Amino acid sequence: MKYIQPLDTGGLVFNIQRYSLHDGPGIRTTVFLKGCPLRCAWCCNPESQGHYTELAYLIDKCIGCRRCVESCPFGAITIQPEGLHTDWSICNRECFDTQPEVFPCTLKCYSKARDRIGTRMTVDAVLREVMKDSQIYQESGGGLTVSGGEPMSQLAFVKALAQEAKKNWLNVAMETCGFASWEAYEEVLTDIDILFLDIKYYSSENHLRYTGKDNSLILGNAPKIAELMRRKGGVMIVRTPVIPGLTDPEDLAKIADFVCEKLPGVNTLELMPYHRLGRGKYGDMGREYNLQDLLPPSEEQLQPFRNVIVGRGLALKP
Amino acid sequence: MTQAVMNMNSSKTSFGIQISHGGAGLKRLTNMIDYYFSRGGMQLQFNVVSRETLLRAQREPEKYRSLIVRVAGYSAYFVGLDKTVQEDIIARTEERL
Amino acid sequence: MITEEKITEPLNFQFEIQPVRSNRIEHMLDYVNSIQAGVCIDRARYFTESYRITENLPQIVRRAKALEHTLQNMSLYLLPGSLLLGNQASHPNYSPLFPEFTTDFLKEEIFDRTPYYPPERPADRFVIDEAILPELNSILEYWNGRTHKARVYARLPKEAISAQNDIGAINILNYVHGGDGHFAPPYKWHIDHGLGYIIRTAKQKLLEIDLTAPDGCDKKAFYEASIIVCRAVIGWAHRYADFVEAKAAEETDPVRKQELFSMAEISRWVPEHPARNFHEALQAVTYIQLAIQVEDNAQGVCLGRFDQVMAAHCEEELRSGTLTREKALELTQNFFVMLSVIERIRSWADTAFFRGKPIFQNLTIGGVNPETRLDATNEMSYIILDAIQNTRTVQPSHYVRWHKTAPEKFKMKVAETIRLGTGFPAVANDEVYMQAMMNRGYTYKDAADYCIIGCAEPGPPGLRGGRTGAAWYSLAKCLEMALYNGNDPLSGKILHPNSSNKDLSTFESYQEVWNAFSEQARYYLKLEVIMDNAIDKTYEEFIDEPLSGIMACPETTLERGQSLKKGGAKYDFTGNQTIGLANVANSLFAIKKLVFDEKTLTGKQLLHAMKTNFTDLTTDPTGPEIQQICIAVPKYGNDTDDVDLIARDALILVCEEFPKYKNTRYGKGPIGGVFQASTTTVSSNTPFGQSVGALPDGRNANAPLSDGQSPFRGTDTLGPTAALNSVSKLNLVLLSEGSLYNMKLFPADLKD
Repeated sequence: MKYIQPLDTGGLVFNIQRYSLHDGPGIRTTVFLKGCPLRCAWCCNPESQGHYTELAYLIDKCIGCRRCVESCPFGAITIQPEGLHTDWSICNRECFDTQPEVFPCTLKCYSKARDRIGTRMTVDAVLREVMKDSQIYQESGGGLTVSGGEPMSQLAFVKALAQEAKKNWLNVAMETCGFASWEAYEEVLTDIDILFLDIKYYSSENHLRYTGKDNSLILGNAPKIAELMRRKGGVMIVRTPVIPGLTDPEDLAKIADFVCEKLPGVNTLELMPYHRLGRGKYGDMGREYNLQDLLPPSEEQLQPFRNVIVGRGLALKP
Repeated sequence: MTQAVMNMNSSKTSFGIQISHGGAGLKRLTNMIDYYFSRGGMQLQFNVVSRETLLRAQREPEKYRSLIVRVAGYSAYFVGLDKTVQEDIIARTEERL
Repeated sequence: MITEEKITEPLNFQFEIQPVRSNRIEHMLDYVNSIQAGVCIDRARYFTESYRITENLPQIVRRAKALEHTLQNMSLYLLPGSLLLGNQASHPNYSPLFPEFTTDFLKEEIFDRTPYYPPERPADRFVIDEAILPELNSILEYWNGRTHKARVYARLPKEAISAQNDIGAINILNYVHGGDGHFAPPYKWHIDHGLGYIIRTAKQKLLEIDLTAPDGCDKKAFYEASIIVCRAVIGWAHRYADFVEAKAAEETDPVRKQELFSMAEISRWVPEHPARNFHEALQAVTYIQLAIQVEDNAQGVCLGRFDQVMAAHCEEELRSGTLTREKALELTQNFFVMLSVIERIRSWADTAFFRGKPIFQNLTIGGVNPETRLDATNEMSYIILDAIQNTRTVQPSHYVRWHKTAPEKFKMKVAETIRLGTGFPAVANDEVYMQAMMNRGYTYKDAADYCIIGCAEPGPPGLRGGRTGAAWYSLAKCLEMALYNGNDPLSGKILHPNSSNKDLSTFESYQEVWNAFSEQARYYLKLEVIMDNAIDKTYEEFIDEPLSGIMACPETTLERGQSLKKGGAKYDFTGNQTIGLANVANSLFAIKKLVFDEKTLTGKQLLHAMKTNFTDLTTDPTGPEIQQICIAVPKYGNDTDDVDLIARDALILVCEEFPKYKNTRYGKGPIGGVFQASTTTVSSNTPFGQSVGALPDGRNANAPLSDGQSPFRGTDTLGPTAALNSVSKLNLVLLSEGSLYNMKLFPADLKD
């Protein structure tokens, strides 16, 4: 019950971001779908990972009414000397695993400090939101970007959404980590104009270590995806994160070579420098953030990465 | 979409890029004005100032004497405004372009 | 240990991009900025001297004589290095006094030192030379019982006074303390004709008047007054010519000496004769602009479409080589500095509505040519934008008329100027402003020539009379009164109970809430109209300004022999200023959703929470919880039709109700003669908030209301397109007195 949902219940969306400037050309609306097969150590959207709805507790919004203590029938929330304490293992067991209609602790949380992450939305409902900015897409050359999480983990929904978007003449971009079956990509890509494919590591070992999955599926898909995008006249861009201490220019060089040799039509390798804006969200969800002390890369740190790309005649930006 | 979920997300931003792209930001501003006006918008006026700058100006007014901000149909020196109006300006939503 | 990101000064373009100024401008600004705001007695002295001996004269002639006497005697100064002449008071940044309007606050604040002695105010301070106090006392003595304020209050019904003083739903204090201004002289016409033309025309008219006609005497007085004030301004310019000639004689620097001589020569020619070049044109405008502000302390004396005013002289001289672009820019900056030293001392109570001492000398550029309908920008438009970027004075204030077909170069230059964050220029949409004006009876050609007057109000220079800014009107207070069945929770006053005799605890449907709101909105709106008309009538009878009238609309007033207040303008509307639209929409929607649609709360619970400012912990849910429930209801500004359309309907109600009322010039000649609505607030959303209790949108008691038609601060969370979409759902074209939307942008986003 917890994983892939049939289309008629809609997609599991955790945010719809209007006026997005960095997810494709022009001004776009980015639809973030929930659920991801990877667990990247640096992920800035931990709330995007689970394939089910979860809870966040935003302490700044809490007015201290303590109604949640009474509302939770499982005793997950207790009053401790330092404030309210949530036993997240109980939440996991009683709510996230069973996905009840409502999370009881949110029922009387008037300040919305306890809020459910993830909303089931139909294709129509998502598109209604997206079309609110259709004029600015026309003027700026923007459109819809489907992101995540990993959109491919909601295959039926993402396919239906992209199809409907194309019927409305929207430009459709998708951001994917490449971790899905080739058949799935074949099905969806017909309605995708711009594809952002993440290749986080060329090293299979590091990929497994820092994302939780081996990269053979991704590297196997990449050339086929590139060929398909090239044939249909679409655009494909490869993205690689720059995480100080965790990624290095040597591995990037292998990715760049792979792009040059194996990915026809791809001429952009975009760097995604690490940022720590997602840090606080881990705590809000009762999770540990393992990169607490890591700082974003400096200009000096970024330069060798850029040199690798420019040196191979690839572009840094689409 | 609920409030908490919106607050949780931060758009993916390209950090660390300091290169000028020939007025792309200014272009977004003119596009936004054109956009609003094409939808029947009538008038727009702007403050282009971060919350942090205004808070600093409140703390150290002598260093920010020359800082001009838009109040309503006019502009004024921020440090010359009284506290309630300063707070009103600080609390205005900061739109990201 | 966690290392935090380096803390650096956040980006701000005012500091990032330093202004480029000539030494002349730099020194002038240093000098002006070194002078604290103060009080000057000159004008009060000479006006009063004249008034003491002119009791027998027609009011308008009497006022003309007083201005003449003042301009003949007030002290003059020359800003260091300035190429332009003129002044409003004895020193830059000094405010003249206008005791004929009110003496109350001057007496209370200067002599009784309550609530503050002006030099000791918490904000908006003025220094006072104590040596003037005895003379000031005798001046105030003379005016006691003769002031505009006393006359206005004598006329106002008690109900209207209570609506202002007790309830705080409307407010007209601004117009009991001074002149009403809010017009744009046709400066192009003035520099092309010269005041000599007006004098000649008025003399001719005096010969032609039919003194047997019922209004013959009025016309005679009007023409005589016009001649007196025009001669007075010319005489003032001649005084300045003598003044700088004397300075020139002492000047040791030969370059400056020559400048002073040539300035003297210019002042002997303009404003009497048509300007022959750029410098003369600017000098003529300076004299007229400043003299109007010596006549009274009106705000909103505007410069019109200034790139059009100066275009011909600018382009011709740049072409012929008699003027360089640098010189034109420097003169324009010099001009801005001349206008930046104007001051107006307001009562302490009134300053809350006008924080930062705005004078609203608006200057408009851009737009279309009314004849060709094509873009009207020219080199002067760019010179003005350069001057805004590099002078950085808070006066004059600036507007750009924006239209689709404006050149990219112009739009980008405007964006670059906005980026500095001085709030200048604001942008007005030609298409909607012009439609809004035509909807009220302007011809296409006149609408296409509009400039911005005051905050955001449109009017073609030289054609618009009436007061574009009138009384304030707090729509949020009207809603509160509806929810309390007309019983003000703050003062306990009841002026007008709901005809349903229900309050929020007893309304049975949302429709009943809406009906009560519209009823209260209409009731207070009517009181506002009563106040405005009482004020206008008092102006007309006792302070009908001759110089303002003849300068604002010379062609029609000269032709008709009627002052502005008697209906001398081609178009005449009285403008309103509506406050708190977002609070009203958000509150109405919260009531609809929580009380009637979803029944989360009862009206009684909500009303109790409002009365206790969301603090009562004994209720279930508690007060703070109810506030959170209210805050969680979707708000105007997020592209949500349910609430945006309530904002639209509330605004339509106001926009359609006002024009049902006529102003005091109706039927006397002008087109219009009715009231119309705007959403300009100045800083009044703060003081008006003081008298509004907690609202169903979750706003706490006494907190500032929303400004203009902007979403309530912090509640628009979905980015710029969502906010703009919401605001553009309002039927803005009905806001024929102007629209005001404040948007705050994050500087770093404009960096690339």
